[in-house]
Amino acid sequence: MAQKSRYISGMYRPNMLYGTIIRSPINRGRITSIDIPPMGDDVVVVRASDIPGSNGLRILKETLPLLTGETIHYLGQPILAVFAPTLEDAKVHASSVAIQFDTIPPDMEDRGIFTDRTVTHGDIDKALMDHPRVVERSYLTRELESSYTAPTGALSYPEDDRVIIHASTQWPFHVRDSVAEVCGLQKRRISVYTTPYSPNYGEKLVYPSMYACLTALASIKSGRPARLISRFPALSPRITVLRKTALDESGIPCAEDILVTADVGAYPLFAEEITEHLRCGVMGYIPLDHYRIRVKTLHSPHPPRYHFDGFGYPSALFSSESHISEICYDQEVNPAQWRLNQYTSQQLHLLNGASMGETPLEEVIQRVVKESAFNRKFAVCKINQVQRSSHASFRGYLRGIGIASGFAPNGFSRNYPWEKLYSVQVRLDENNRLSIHTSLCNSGASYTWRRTSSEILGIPEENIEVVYGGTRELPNSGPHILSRDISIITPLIRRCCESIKSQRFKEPLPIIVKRGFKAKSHEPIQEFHRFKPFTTACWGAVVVELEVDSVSFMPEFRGIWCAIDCGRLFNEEVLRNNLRTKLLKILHLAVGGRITPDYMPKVEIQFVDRGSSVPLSGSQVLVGLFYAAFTSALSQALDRSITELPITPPDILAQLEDL
Amino acid sequence: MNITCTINGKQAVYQVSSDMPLLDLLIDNAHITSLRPGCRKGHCGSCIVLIDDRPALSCLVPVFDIRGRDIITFERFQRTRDSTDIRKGFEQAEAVPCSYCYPSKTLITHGIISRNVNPEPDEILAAFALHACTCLEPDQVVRGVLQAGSYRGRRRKYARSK
Repeated sequence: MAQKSRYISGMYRPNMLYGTIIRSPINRGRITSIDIPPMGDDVVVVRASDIPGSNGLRILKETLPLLTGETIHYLGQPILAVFAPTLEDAKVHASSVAIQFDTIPPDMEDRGIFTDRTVTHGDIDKALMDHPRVVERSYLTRELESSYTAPTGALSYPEDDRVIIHASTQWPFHVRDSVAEVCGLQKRRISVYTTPYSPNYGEKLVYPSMYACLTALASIKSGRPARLISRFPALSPRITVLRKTALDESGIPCAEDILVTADVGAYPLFAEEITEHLRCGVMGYIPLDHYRIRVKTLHSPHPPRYHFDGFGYPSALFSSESHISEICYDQEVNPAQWRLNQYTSQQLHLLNGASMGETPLEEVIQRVVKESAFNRKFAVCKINQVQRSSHASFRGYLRGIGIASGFAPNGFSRNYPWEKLYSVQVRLDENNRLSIHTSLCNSGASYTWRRTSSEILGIPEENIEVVYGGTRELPNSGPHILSRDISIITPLIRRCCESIKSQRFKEPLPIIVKRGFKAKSHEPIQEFHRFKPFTTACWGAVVVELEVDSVSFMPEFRGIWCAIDCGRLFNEEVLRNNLRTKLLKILHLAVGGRITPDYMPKVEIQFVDRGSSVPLSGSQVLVGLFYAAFTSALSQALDRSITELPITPPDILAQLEDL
Repeated sequence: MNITCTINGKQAVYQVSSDMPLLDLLIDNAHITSLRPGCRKGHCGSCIVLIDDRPALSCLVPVFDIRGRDIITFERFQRTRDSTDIRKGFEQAEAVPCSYCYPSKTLITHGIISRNVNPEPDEILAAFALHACTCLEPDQVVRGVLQAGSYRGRRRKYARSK
């Protein structure tokens, strides 16, 4: 029932070499000398000068250096890799390498801007001046480290005229292309197989390609298998959102000035896509005549940031929803009622005026409000808050309840550079067996694919197989991020099956159909107004009720209620379990500590099944909404604006001491 | 230094440095595949093995401490009847851990029910605090362990009656 999956740490080949990376101990500097003592015949050292091809990994338009040539740009930048018959030997040999640096003083660090995009509509400065009621807040999501994950690594070995690579990667074709470019090999001579990588936070998008290149170089140099596993910490970008919102007489936003800055480290990976996700995430659901959204991605001497749960979208959504709650608290209005009053229209519009059509937003809010008894609990917490203020010496119960609602996209934005066509292939053979070929076959979405194929073609699910294989056998279905396996690949498989259905009994078997996905249009930035940046949207609402422990100052969750629009529900139990696991993991990050089984709160998840043909993944929307609902609940409990994440017990104590 | 110990019933001698974590010895020298080198700090609980039949975090145990001791990993344990009790118990409770944490959670469960086949829920949750994977709800964990304990108890009783 389990233990069949072979993780990268459990993979061996006879005669294998174990690798370790020597990384830069400084932020910025220049390498003046590298002294490598004699190490014996069975030790392989991979340096920048050993790279036959390009010393860099290409990610869309950007390049991340593989090994440091001369200049060090970030702490932990790989300088060289040492491979030896045992890991211990490799570490001993690595420690004997002497590297001299010239450190570049901090004042010489170039802190630049990678991307800076501003969209303005109307006269925002005048609108902010004209309205006396302006709510201004700054929301910060600090660097979050994805810990306790399966190790990241790669194993390479030569076989005939090919190089075989096993890597814990979310993007096997990127591994293949990177190895081809770095090692100067033809792509057809490289086969990449994906090993399980659980859980998946997006940190296995780029680093596995780096480790695969190093192992492939060692393997080619030595003619032996080489494996490298690294636990280099993967941090998400630090994102700050400054929002100034002008309110009209009835307390409704009428103009908004938003500045978003994201520190993406020394090299911007997917900077354009992060910009697009952030820009979309900060847009609320009230169309405004005057707005300015500026998104900057900044350079810093930190390691490249990974794409934690949706390219920064959850952090942006957290700012939008927390800001709505802050506006409500300023006006002493029930935030759930405020949302229901504003979002009742059948045609919901974004801040920029883009129509979202009919949405289930009202329904998901109604559901969580009802299930959590939000209105009653909010009133109780409010009374408690007022009583606490009037008797300052008594803290009383530090209880609060918060709500957040909104949407998150699945898949890339329309501005993604679709140079490649990402595709899937479906084959119906003579024995009435259907095989689905996609490079995302490592995902748990195969149940949905088999079910949907079975429904269309009437083939029993046991006759449908999701094929596991390498990059030589499978089509390039793109990276496994942003819930693409569910929301992008499933419709492609549906299209393939519908095509097979129309050909079946007319054409000879086997019937092979391939379908690809490409964005239909590329909208220029100037037309941002009324522009909807994403093709899919998954809606949700979350209520969090908590109490701060008066001894440990740890937020103790009394309940978490979620309602998620799943488009089409195929397997409720699997989806519920996935979302619940996701929620508990982000809960751990939000409180900056470790969640043990006795701390796990009650989580209730409801699904809205709209019967659409496309299933949606609620994980991105859940993250952003949970952050917002959590901080709103904590704000009410502490009677302070909590706008930073993560928030630890010492932070809470500091807030209480300020009271 | 030379370390002599028994791993999965086979006595072996390893020439390694004394402060090497047991986890590294098991993965790199003994080629054990069920271990997940997660945090390497004792937080994630993915590297649990049985040392003299008690669960231990192998990333925190230096190899000099295992001289002459009996180490069982999931590879060996899963072939025992004790493992079958746990598998059946969790299946019966409809609580199957994910493939990432399944080996460690099985060994933690063994550690609990080998002492007491009917443990208190608090005792179970405290023992499972060793593991950071949240693939199971707390009540699923409790149900699974109690069910496994019930199978174990019945089997012991049957063995005694014979």
